[in-house]
Parts: sequence; structure tokens; C-alpha cells
Amino acid sequence: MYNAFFSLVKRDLRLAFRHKSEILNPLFFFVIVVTLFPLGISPEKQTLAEIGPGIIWVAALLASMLSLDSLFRSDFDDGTLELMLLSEYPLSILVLGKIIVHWLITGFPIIIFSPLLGTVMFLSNDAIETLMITLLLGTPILSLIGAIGMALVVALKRGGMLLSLLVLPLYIPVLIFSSNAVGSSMAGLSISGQLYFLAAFLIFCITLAPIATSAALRVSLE
Amino acid sequence: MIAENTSSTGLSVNQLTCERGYRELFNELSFELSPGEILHIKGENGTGKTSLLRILAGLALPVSGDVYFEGYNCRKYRSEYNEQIAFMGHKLGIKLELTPIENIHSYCEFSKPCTEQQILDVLEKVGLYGFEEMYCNQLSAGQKRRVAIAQAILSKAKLWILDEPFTSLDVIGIDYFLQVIQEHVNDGGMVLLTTHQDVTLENCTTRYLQLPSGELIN
Repeated sequence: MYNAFFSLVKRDLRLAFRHKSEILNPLFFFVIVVTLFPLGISPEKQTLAEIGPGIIWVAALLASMLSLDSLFRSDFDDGTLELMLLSEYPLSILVLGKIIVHWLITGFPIIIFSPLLGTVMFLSNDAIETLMITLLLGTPILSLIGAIGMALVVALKRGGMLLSLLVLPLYIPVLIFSSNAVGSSMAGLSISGQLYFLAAFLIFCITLAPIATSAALRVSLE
Repeated sequence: MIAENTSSTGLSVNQLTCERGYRELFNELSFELSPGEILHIKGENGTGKTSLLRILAGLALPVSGDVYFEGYNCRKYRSEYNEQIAFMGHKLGIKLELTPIENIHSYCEFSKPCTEQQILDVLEKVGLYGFEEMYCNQLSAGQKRRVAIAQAILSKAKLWILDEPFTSLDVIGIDYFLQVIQEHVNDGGMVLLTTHQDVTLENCTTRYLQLPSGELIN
């Protein structure tokens, strides 16, 4: 079973590196959206520091959502998704492998670039550190929840809008607690409550999202 | 596992009914397939050949009825059943951005692990010698199908479910694939296939299932 899991992770990472746009597009989107705000609203330090955490988190959330299509679409189109369903190994384990790869190619680069964008938004060092921790806990949740939505719409030709409607409301708690944690950190307040919530939500999603995604895939492929 | 229908050593289909939308494709279809047999499903377009194969592979659900493999209900023992089947649908299940070797290797990891030498041997057997390191998007439609055939061979599955397997294959490719099917059946395997071509194999029991009537012709 572990061989199948690691082989799937290796295959998807290989495919992502051969299709570099899968890695670069969400990252460019994230960077461009965040850098547009100082141009559109105000370059003032105080204003940007105030709205920065929210902007960075909304951009990360949208970048993750826009890349969800790459999670199952190509597998559905070429029939490898059917072969995954017919594997003797639990589908939820294989699905978890695909979600991990999605996070590695979309969430992880966002975390790496976040200190730079935090600096652009005049966040303090403590706030940037908190931002990175919230992204580390929150972006896997985005991939896990997004996988359920994508699995439900994978067989639909124009499922993009439906995907947004399904997934965005579920992203709201992550957005609220994460941006609040960064704001609290800037104000010198305790952030442990928000981080505990994100950690608990992450564990909840890791436990249930692969199972829900597998069930959704079976329904979609029928 | 506890056998539920011990009368069968192969595949046993029991009163299968399938609907698509409000249209009934077939009603209370029953048949059996024993080791060493080929069942050729015939019927006009839209009579439910692909739907039947997808139900038998466990990719779709029937309205009613059950499928048993070696006496076990396939829906209850999905993982064990999946171990025993190789499915080749309209979509080939190969990644165009990978080479044939990479595709087969990743397929084998989902089913039965195989060595690189075994993959090379099978690729040579299916006529893809010299194309092992090319990306599949540089191969012709027939060559891509040969990659899928190589995957089926290496799956070592007892039951092959093949939906229009000869599409895009040239005459040599078809002859070769028929030979592969014959070898598989002679080794005790079973084949369920749909094709609009006549399948004639020597020393093999081939039966025909006509859809939508469900009439079995020996």
C-alpha cells in the first residue's frame, strides 16, 4: 500500500515538474494579487500593515482554489482516475497522496514567498512568523477541502463556478482564524487559541477529507 | 471472506438491470463466465455495452442485481475483486506526459508490482521496442493503445474487461492482441469484451451476449 502511495506522489510530482505552469501559475497569481493592493488602495505603511494579513490570506486562498482543477481533471480526462478507483488499495490513501502533491506544488511555494510579501505589506517580524505558521496549518486545509469540491464537480464540463460555491464557504473559518492570528500577533496579543483551532481543523480535515473525496469521486465517475 | 455463491468459479451476473436517465438499457440480465472463456458482448450503439462493462468493473452501479466473482459479492469485497480485474475503457489510463515505462511502472504500483525488465519485455512483446523512453504524447493512437495492452498483461488479473480494445490498432496490432487474449484465456483467464469486429480465436470458448435482449449464443 505504501509503495502505491509513494509511487503516486512521485508520479504526480514528476508530472508537475514537467508541466511547470502548474507550480508557477498559482504562485504568480498569489504574488501579483498581493502586490496590486498597495497600488490600488494606498502605499501607506499603517494602512497596508492593517489590511496586509487579510489580503495575503485571501490571495493564498484564491490561488489554492484556482489550482484545484489540476487535482483530478487530467486524471479524469485520460482515464487514470478510473484505474485509481479500480486499485486494490484504499482509494482514500491514494487520494491523500494526490492532495499532498497539490499542497506541495501550490501551498508550499506560497509559504516560502510569504515573508517577502509580508515585508511588502509592512508586517512586523512577529506577524510574518505568525503568517507563516498560519499558512503552514491553513494551506493544507485548503487543499483537503478543495479536493472534496473538485471530486464532486470533476465530471462536469463547466464546474468552476459550482466549485467556488461549494468550497469558498468552507474556507471562511480558515480565513477568519488565520488573518485574526496575524492581526493579534501584530497587536502583541496571544495567538495560541487561533493556532489550536487551525491545528484541530487540520487534523479533522486530514482524517475525513480523503474519505469524503473518495466517496465523491465514486459518485462522480458513475 | 465467506463465499456467498459457491456455484460459480468465475464471474456470475445475477438479474442485472441498468437505466440511464429514464431509459432502461437492459433488464434482469443474467449470465456466467467461467475460466478459459471469452464473452463477446454485442449490440447496436446505445444498447448498454459500455454501461454493462462499467458495472462489471465496479465503476457504475446497477439499478438492481448483483455481480459475483468466484462466489463473492463484488460490491462487498471490492478490494479483493479489484485485485482480480484489469479494465481497459475508452480512456486508456495512460499519462501523455510520461514515457511508456513510467506509465506502466506507476500502473503496476497500483496493482501488482513488476520489475523494469518485465516492463521492457512486455513493451518489446507489444511492439514498442525503441519507444520506451518517448513521451506518450509523441506516440500514435495505436501505440498508446499498445501501452494500455502492456498494462493489462502485467496486471496478471484473471478477468479482463475490455471496451472496444481494437480501436486504433492496425491489422498486426489486432492479430497480436488476439494472440495475447488467447494466451490469457488458455492460461485460465476470462475476457469480457465489446467490439464491432468479429473475434475468432482457435481453441477458445467464445460466447456471445446480445444486448439489449440478453440472449446468450454459444
